[in-house]
Amino acid sequence: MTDGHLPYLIAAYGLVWLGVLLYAVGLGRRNRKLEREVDELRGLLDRTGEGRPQP
Amino acid sequence: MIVSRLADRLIPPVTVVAMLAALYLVFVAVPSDAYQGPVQRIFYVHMAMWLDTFTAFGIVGAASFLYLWQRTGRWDRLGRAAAELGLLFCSLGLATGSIWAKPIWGTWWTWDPRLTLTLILWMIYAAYLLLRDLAAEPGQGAVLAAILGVSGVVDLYLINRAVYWWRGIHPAVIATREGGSGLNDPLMRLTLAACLVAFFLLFLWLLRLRLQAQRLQDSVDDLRAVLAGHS
Repeated sequence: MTDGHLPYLIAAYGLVWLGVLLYAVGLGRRNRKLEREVDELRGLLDRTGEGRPQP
Repeated sequence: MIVSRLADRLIPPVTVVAMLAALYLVFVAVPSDAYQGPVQRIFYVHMAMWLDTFTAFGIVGAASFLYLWQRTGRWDRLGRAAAELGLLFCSLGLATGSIWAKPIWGTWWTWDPRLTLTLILWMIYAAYLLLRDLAAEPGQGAVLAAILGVSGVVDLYLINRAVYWWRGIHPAVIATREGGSGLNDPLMRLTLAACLVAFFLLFLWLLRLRLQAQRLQDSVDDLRAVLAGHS
């Protein structure tokens, strides 16, 4: 076995880091989108609540 | 609450430091294997992928059991989050194994008992996630997925035992078939330990992020339900 197998080593570590990075970036984006959605819905709920007649 | 906040602050920087130390050991400090050469260094990340996979699917099994017993949503959410991560690390474990097999075994894939059982494991947990989307009702999907989540633990045990019970091509490295360890060099053992710790911390970090996404999704669903009640 020789250093000729180096591309396999690079491919294995590269693939792991690419896979983890893509998943983490996707998860971060999903969380930010959901946070924005929660804020928007809370704002909408506040406005809806204000628009309702007080008991 | 304090522990949770502390973990949120500590896990990311500690993971980065541990990962840098592991990479230094893998690519600079550890000696190459006398027979396989540098390509043997895939072993360290390959093992780390399986530690994360077994941890994730172990969590899915436990959470699924608790969900079937108590029917509380928190166990279902934990199981779902861990299954997603388990599938990610299982895919990467299969891929790194395949890349390592090509120069050493001369083939990308072989139907060795451990490899075959691992492919079945991947399919079980892919089905676990798919069931939720395909089920007519969310509750029904969660129950069916939990049954699958518990049964997957049997496959985890079979994968662990496969190299000892059946004659396959996959080696037993940490505890050899003859007894003892296949890693005699102390630096190799240290590098393996560093990789396992670094990727376990990464797993914890991602699990917390995934659970956060789950909580946010629940908040969105609750707020939508309240707004629907208003209109």
